[in-house]
Amino acid sequence: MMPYRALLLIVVGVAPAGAVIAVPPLDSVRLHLAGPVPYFRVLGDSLVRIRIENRQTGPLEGGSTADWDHGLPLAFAGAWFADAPASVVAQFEATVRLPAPVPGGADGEIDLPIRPVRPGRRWLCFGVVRSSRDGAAYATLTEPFCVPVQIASGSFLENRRPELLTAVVITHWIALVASAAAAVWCLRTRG
Amino acid sequence: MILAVALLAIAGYGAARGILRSRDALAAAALGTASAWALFIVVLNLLLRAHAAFLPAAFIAYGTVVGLGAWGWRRARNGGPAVVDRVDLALLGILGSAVSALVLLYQFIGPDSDNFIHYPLVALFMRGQFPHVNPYFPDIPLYGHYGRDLGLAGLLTFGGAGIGTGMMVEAWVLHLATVGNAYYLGKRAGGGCVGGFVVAYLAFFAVNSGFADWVVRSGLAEVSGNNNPVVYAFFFAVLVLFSAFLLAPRLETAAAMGVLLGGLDMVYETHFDILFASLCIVWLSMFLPKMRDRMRPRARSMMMASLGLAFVVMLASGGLTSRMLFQRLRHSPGAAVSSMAADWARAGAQQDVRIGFPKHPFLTLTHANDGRGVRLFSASFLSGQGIGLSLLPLAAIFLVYRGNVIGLLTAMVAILSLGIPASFDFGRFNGENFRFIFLGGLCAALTLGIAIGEAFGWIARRRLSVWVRGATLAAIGALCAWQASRAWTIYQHAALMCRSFPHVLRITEGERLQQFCMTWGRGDEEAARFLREHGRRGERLLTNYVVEDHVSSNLLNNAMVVMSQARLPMGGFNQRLQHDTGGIQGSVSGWSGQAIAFWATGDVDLLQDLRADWLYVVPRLLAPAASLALQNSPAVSQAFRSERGEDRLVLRVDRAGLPARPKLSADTASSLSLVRVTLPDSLPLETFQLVEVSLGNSGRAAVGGKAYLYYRLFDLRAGSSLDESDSVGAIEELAVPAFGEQSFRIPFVVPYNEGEYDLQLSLTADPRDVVLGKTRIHVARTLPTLAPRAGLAPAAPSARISR
Repeated sequence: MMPYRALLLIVVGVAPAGAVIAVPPLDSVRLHLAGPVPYFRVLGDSLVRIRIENRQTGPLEGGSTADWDHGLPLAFAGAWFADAPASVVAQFEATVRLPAPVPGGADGEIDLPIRPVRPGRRWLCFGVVRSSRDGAAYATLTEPFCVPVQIASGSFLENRRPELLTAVVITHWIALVASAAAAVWCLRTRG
Repeated sequence: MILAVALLAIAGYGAARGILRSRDALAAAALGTASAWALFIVVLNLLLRAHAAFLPAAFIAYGTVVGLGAWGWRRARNGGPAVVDRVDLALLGILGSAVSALVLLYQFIGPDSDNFIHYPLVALFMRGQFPHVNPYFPDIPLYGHYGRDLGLAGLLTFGGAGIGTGMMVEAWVLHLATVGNAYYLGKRAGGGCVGGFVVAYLAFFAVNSGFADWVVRSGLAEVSGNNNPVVYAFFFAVLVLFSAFLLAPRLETAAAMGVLLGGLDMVYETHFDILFASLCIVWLSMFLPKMRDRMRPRARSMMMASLGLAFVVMLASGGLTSRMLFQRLRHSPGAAVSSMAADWARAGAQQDVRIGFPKHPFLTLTHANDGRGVRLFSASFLSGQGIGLSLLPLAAIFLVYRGNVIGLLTAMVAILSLGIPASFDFGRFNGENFRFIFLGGLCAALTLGIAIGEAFGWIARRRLSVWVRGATLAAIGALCAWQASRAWTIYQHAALMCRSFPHVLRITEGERLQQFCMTWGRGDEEAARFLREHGRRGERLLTNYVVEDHVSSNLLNNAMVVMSQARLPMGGFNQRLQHDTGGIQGSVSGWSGQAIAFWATGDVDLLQDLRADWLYVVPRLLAPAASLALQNSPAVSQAFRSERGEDRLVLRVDRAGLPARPKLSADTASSLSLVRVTLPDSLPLETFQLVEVSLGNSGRAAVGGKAYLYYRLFDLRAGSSLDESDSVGAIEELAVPAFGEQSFRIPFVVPYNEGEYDLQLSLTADPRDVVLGKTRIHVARTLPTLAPRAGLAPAAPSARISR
């Protein structure tokens, strides 16, 4: 099982769906860097530690995978790369469930694993959302917090990983369609 | 390694063409690749069982397969040219491209949850560790389930690829071979190319088997990790050989079938047992009047010989089935059972399978998630299965009526795969019936595919109008499309990952290692290379590597990477008692108490228990106290320090130089007793603490001298003592006055489960250790908060002593 893939999809795939839930104002949770910006390299793994400042009176929900399975709403911190500072929380490229609640008025810190796929100067943005297994509790809790970062280049192929993956998929589709066409042609000629 | 695989495939092709007399080039390529890989594993294993060294054995096994291939090529020259059917080629192109895409994307996405055991096993085989041991518990020998890792280790010795890359190549090559084998199985079973296509399609994309409320596997294309590519390469190679044998009973085919079937046991004992039993039943059915007319007596004799050969190879291979048979013959008593939880932990680490009959309740499967019973003939189970299983009775009756022996075999495998786990009790491994269920679903799908092919062939032979044939084909197409909806969803998921999350996919060996250990880099490569070169078989390793990324880089996977790159096993883990037993559970999940205490203190005395010969140290993760203690210990010396990348240290432990544990005389120590234990207010699970223990002296004389004070915990809820590796202590200087008390602060590691424990304190003495007393402690889960590094206060006190 690959739980983190599920987490990615939780944040990406869950629609608010108009459910009536209490959504705190966006400045009730603020984000800061809790350490130096690490060295980033294309396809290199780095941890970025962020501080979550909970300015609400109540706790910011956190918990275990069992809590998630039981349908409790949990907060997720996430990060994504952007070409310019983001104004709203966008699709997370890395998502981490808060393993424990952050009490009201207190701070919490968490590491986010970051793996850039494009070299150059970019903005690394962070956000926090809340969600539950059924999606009913989905809410964006923060405004994006963005920092400029420099991502070092890798090899020729490493710098073009998305294109490489697309080529792998397209090649297979071409093979499949060509084989299907050949099969139809062969069956027709054979009668 | 990739060249070695290519040569193996070429040799297999030659053997299939020349020895097994396959004129069809594509069929020979598919069968040859799978058979050559399988034969390499079988021969390598038999050589190692005959006490050959690993490297020569790998080369001899490889040479044997290549030699057979060369002989086959030579014979093939006399047998006429190879033929390629264009329709087969096109249909296999459709199936192959779809399977290839899914396998590659899934391999890139990884990680496989069972890599924690397979990576180190492959590495230890490469070190020459045979018979194999549990890498996390090096004292425990393992028996079965290792063929895939052994074969991969053998091919990796040719160099050029890492373990992760090797797994990817293996999955891709063998799954593509299995596509071909499934296709030709369906074709030869009487369904022609339509039957072949439907059989392979259903097998790879439309099995849909599992538990509807947990995990349902869509088909072989999704099951491309772990042992599966090798298991199904063996499985389908045997089925194809059987189908070839039915068409033309030849000694070579029967022999190949026997060798591969017998070898399957040490790869996947469950599948061997089911397939062997099914083939025996099919063999018996050959004596039925209707079948007897079709099979010549010589064919029946040859098949019996083939099954006999399979049995002999199975016994000689030393897998789990042979071990259980020998145990039963010797009437060896099993290990004593102290409690359910203890037995659960021990059986998991030792691969100790016990079989009971009948299972209670009867005809009930075990849910892989939580171990609850699921009635075999219940709506909740059957509603989660694919159409193959739903139509199995109908398809099986039709194929029996048609006298289709291959269909009879696949139906029999399907029935036994579901009937056996529902009727037999496998104890701790009941949750593993997930494997049986998938095999059942797969073979039910094969049966349906063969039945569809047979029915379509019947329609095609009737010279009905083109509209009837077209409508039949359209109906088959609609059925295939409908049943593959789950596989399509999986593809869409993989495509979404490619498109939107390309950073999640990992291709190169280094990337794959970083998936499990995110800071793995140049420094680690240097240190691991040093250990590969200087470590010796039988030595052990310990590391303090813990880099958590909340994804897949964690303590266990970090250790797995260090072990697999250094090719040394790592003690330092414990067999954990589970309060809730059931379902599929891993046998290892974290460090033992001794390992936690060692990395917190650096007390080299603990290395006597941990039995480590090398320490793989990430200096920045080393506690200051441990760093100081290791620097000052004469028994530990620096053997290597990385020059590039992040700082890594390899320390050599001179185990002979570790100071012996002092002992008091038992008579002197008998006057000592435990007075009290004072625990800290907060006891987060699995953390190191110092606890104060007070000893009282009831004797008239003072007790002095050095002794090793240690404790052992008894989990009252589980009804068993914790593993010995969770027993921690320290050498203390005793000076307990007559009728007085003395207090010590001894290391204590909070257990991994909350609950009530009896803490028993003992002291090393001559001739035997003396129990000083027992006290009850309560460990409650500390409510965690997400605190900054030096921020929020811990939660309320969580442990108290109750005498």
